[in-house]
Amino acid sequence: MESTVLTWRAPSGWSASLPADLDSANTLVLVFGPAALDGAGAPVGELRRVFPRALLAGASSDTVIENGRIDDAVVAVSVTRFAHSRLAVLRSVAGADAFTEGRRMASDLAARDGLVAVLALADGLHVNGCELVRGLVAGLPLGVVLTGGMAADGTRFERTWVIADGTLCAHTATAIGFYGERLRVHSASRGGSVGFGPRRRVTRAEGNVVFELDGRPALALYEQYLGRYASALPASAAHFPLSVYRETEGDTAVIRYVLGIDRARQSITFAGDVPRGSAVQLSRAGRGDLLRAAEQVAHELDAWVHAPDDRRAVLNIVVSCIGRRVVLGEQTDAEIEPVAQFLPPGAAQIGFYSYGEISGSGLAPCDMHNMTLTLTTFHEA
Amino acid sequence: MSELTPSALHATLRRQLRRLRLEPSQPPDAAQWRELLCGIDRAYHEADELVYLVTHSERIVTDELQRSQQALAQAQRLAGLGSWSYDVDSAMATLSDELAHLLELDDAQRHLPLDGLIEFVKPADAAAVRRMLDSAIAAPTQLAAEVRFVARGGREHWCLCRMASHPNTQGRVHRVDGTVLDISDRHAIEERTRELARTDPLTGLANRSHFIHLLRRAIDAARTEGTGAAVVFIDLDGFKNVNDTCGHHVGDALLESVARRLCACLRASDVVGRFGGDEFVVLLPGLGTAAEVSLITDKVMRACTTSVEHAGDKVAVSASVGVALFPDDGDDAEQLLKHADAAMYVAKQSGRNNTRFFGADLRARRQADRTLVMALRAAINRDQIGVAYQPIVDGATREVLGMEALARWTHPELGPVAPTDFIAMAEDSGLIGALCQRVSVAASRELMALPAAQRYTRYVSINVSPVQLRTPHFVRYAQRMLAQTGIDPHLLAIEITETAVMHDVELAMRMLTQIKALGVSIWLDDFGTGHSSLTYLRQLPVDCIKIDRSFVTGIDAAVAGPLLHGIVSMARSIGCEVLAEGVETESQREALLAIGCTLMQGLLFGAPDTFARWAPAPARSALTV
Repeated sequence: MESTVLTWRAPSGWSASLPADLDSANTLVLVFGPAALDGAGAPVGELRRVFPRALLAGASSDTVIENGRIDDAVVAVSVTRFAHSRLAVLRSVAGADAFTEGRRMASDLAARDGLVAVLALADGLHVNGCELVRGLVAGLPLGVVLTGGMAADGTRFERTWVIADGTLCAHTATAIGFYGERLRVHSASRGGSVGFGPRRRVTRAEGNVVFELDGRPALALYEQYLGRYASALPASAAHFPLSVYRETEGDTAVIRYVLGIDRARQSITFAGDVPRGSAVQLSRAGRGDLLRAAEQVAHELDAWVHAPDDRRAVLNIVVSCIGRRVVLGEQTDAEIEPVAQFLPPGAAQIGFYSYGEISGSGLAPCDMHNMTLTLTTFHEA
Repeated sequence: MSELTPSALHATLRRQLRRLRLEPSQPPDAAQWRELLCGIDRAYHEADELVYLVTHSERIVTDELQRSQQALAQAQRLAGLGSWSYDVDSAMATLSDELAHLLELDDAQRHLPLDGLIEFVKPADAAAVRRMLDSAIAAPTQLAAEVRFVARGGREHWCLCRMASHPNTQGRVHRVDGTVLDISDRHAIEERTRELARTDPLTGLANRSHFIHLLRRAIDAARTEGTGAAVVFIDLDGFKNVNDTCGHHVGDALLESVARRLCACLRASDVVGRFGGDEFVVLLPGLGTAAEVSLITDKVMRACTTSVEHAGDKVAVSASVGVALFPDDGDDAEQLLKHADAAMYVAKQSGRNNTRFFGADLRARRQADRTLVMALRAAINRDQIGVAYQPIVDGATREVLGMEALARWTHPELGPVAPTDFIAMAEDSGLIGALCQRVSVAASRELMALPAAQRYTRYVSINVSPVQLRTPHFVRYAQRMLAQTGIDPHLLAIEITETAVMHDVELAMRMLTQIKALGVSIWLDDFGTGHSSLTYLRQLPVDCIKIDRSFVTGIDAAVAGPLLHGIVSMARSIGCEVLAEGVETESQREALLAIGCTLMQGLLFGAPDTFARWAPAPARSALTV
């Protein structure tokens, strides 16, 4: 396995010459770049020409991660040629039911022997990420690692895209299957948001749009808590993501990030379903807590890749939440630094800030999360 | 300023420099400088934003929690709901304001060990509370029970206690929360409801159902222990008089004082009950002989003997008392009560203010009565009730106009039984309806057997018992009888007594109006012996009044008294016919004719006999006697 990361920025172009010799049927080219790229499209076209046999996939994001750095307005590209593993890619029918498409793609990928992992990328504004993940989980056999994320558009929430089988498109999800006995894939995820204040009941909601909490407009609650930063909604809501409890009494919650607001309807749109009747609580995403969580997940990565004899190539895919980017601001690099610190020399790291991270956490089944840092490593034994 | 090495700089600035690929010692170019300043500016703003959001949200959440705590405390205060929380690790419980208030504790005592809280549970309930807590601590659960708390000042509260235990992440219970709701009022109401269900509201004595329950228990105990029990039935003599003359409030006060005196003269183990009206009952457990019971009944008689002052007069009240003993007079509650009642009835009949034991003679008499009733029932079923007919005549011409049908019964062994005896027996045993049916059907059939031309020269009157008049089906029964026999209703009259009507005037009025609508005439029997109320007479649909024989017997030297005169003119004035009963002499006949009463009945014209005896002879159009 061989892997390298390079960047493209306008107008200077590529940071290094494209490694055309890595092109093969078992080569994965991942592309993460600004949502506005769909208008220009130049680097993607070039990648298609240089790597005609490779499998080309990607997702939009204004902030990307490449080899320990975060960068805005840059296209990050990783080129990985697997020596002992095979790849397959599927895409969903644009606009079709996310659960059904997720299950279909998972079943089709699992139909071939030796499936080890699935990397899923989807349009972050138009594909229901929770349903997509539910569908993928439903179609995958136990033991297959599922990872990935939802394409983003910074804090503009206007348009997102994915590259599915070489084509840049919206309203679509793509799933890449990784096969091979010698392939080792690890994935872990941590959040760090801490619930505070009273638990509230969702008294009016439709899908991922919440109108009322405890009979009071949901938007009014956020405006009250954000005070003078209410005018910066929805981006400023990243400071108070919503904990949605699975059971009324329990402490198991998923964190939901605010994607948008509607002042006329006094509603908030979250990056995942918030069922009516469920118990929710505001969370505080403090910088310290987020960074502590990043360190914890980095330590997990250390355990996977620092086997005594390990000097082999590693591809590390990072999917972090756009909310973390907002909260960490000028200190965003601080969550990538500990990860980079544990990667072996020569490892390729690429990632993006997303509208939803696809990962399992601990023993819990895979889900779509917000406000987490999700790490996945690929290497061949 | 210390040396500008990267490690000496703030991490944020260091990152900003690195992003611009600048070293601390290297001055930036114009573009880098602008970008660096922008980054630093953003970092300052971000820091301000974070500080603001933390402090602002803290303030709001604190306000929110305070408001919610206040609302909860207020709701708990309004609901009288106390709460507590027990921390398993520290083994300490914390009480809410409301619970502290209920237990009369001050603020300093609201945090206490669990045993300290259990000390406020009434000792009788403490073990149950401990068991609940033990199981709540052992595993997550929810429990509820009603227990009594005793506040620090000694006041007892019935409380509904609910508790729920909460596990930590390892599944071990780390906290138990509970609520305590004061339900003393509800308990008091329930106790009062139970009390009301058992007692007579006026006197507070046991009511019928509760008395019977206690009597059954006493019978069971006596049976087990081989002892006896006595039931004393008391009916106040003259109580109706008190109610009528002094009013119900005086009557009620009298009943209350009798109840008090009865209780005062009896043992604590004896039970006094009131079955309504002026009927009291006493249960004497353990007493099985008449001698023992007599000592008590003497006291009972004295307790019931009293008088009430009214308008200068004294209205006296005494008691007729009947006693039945277990096991001699009956072996269950119902039988003992029935026999005590029967004994009381005999006491009342034999001059009031005395006590009768059911005993051997009453038992024998009851047995005889029962045998006679069985014989009467058999006679009715076998159609062995005879009907005799006494003629009703025009006193002036002696022409027979109609007949009164009279039931007759000849016992196979005892011979003829007096009508007053067997009719009373039929009324008591519920046979009266069947008996009257026999008579009316027989009389109707006799009339219908006459040739049509002669049928209309006679009518028949049939007696209706007061018991029957109280039966709601009476009208339907009459309709059926008319339909069965096919008789013209105008040939029939029913005779009812004044007392039968007075029992329930409205019901009687309604029934009689319906009977009359069928075409049957209505006669008022034994007029002058009862209330003889002119007011009611005007309202009743009566066609004829039969003057009681006592008035006729009193006719002196062929002159009717002014009362008889008055009755006849009064009846005339309201359009009623008048019939004189018991006419036995010529002078009575003349006197009655003199005051215009022509319809007569009596031995002067003929004793009760067969229908044929008074039926029109085929050859003649009329029979005179």
